[in-house]
Amino acid sequence: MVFMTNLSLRTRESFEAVMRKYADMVYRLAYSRVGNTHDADDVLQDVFLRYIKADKTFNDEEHRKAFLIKVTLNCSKSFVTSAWKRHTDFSEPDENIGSEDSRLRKLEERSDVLEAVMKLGDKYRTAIYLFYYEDMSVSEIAKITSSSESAVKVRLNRARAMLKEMLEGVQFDV
Amino acid sequence: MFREKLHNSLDSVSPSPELLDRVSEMMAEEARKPKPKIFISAVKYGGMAAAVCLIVTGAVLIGGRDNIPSVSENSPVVTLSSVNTGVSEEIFIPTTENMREESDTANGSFDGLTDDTGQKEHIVTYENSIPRTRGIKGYRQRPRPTI
Repeated sequence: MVFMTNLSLRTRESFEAVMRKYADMVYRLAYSRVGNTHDADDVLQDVFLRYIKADKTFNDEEHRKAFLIKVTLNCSKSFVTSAWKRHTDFSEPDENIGSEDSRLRKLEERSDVLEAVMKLGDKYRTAIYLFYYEDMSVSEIAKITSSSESAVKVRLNRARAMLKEMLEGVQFDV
Repeated sequence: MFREKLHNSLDSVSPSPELLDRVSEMMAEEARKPKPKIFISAVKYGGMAAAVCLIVTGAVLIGGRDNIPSVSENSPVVTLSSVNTGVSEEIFIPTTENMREESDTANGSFDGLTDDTGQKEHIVTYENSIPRTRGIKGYRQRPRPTI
């Protein structure tokens, strides 16, 4: 019984440690996909619930990170294309936001670079985020997004071209 | 450089501590739930599927008995009887033994008889069937030429 208690405690601690470690990554990726903090909150919850329900055994931390990125992409896609999202009007501001109001408003005031990235299409945004922010290679991005390496390269090149038009004088370190 | 600018922009995007606490509570609650045992589920749902298959198979077999004919070897008349209703019906079914075709045995091709209009007829005769009004054993006599 003591062993079981310790095991469940250890499992809970490990889940929480994983959540604290990857929460920022998942949240930023979800934010880059859905475009606002409210939806990113929902996606974050959904991702970690799926993680704990899957109860997978991972080979290493890279495997775990790749799993979480893939689940985040899938959850974001499901959220954006969901019937509720398509039939809900977000034009009126939510007045029930309490203490987080200032934080959210601060986040919404995005920089020019982030604003330009958010104007890209989904697949270009994902490629740019994973390549430049998560420092992933083209082959890793291709594996996670279930596409070919050449497709990822094309997306990166097109995204850079679009960003160069929107942001004058920006330099890309390829 | 674009990479530094993107890092500076996205570093400010992070989940709130309240959200992390809430998600942590949800994960702890989910972890406390007992997992469904796969073996028991497999036996349960497998047994249900097998029972359904047995019921469907039995129903098909029992229902199919209504259409099983009782055939006697010498009689081309087949009696269909329903087990449930007790109603029986006799129908005539031609078999290979009592069915002959008028054919040309020399070249193996069928050459039927010609009727009054000059069209060929395919005549099939049945033994033990209702006797025809003309001819023997169902063979139709050719019309005699008129002089």
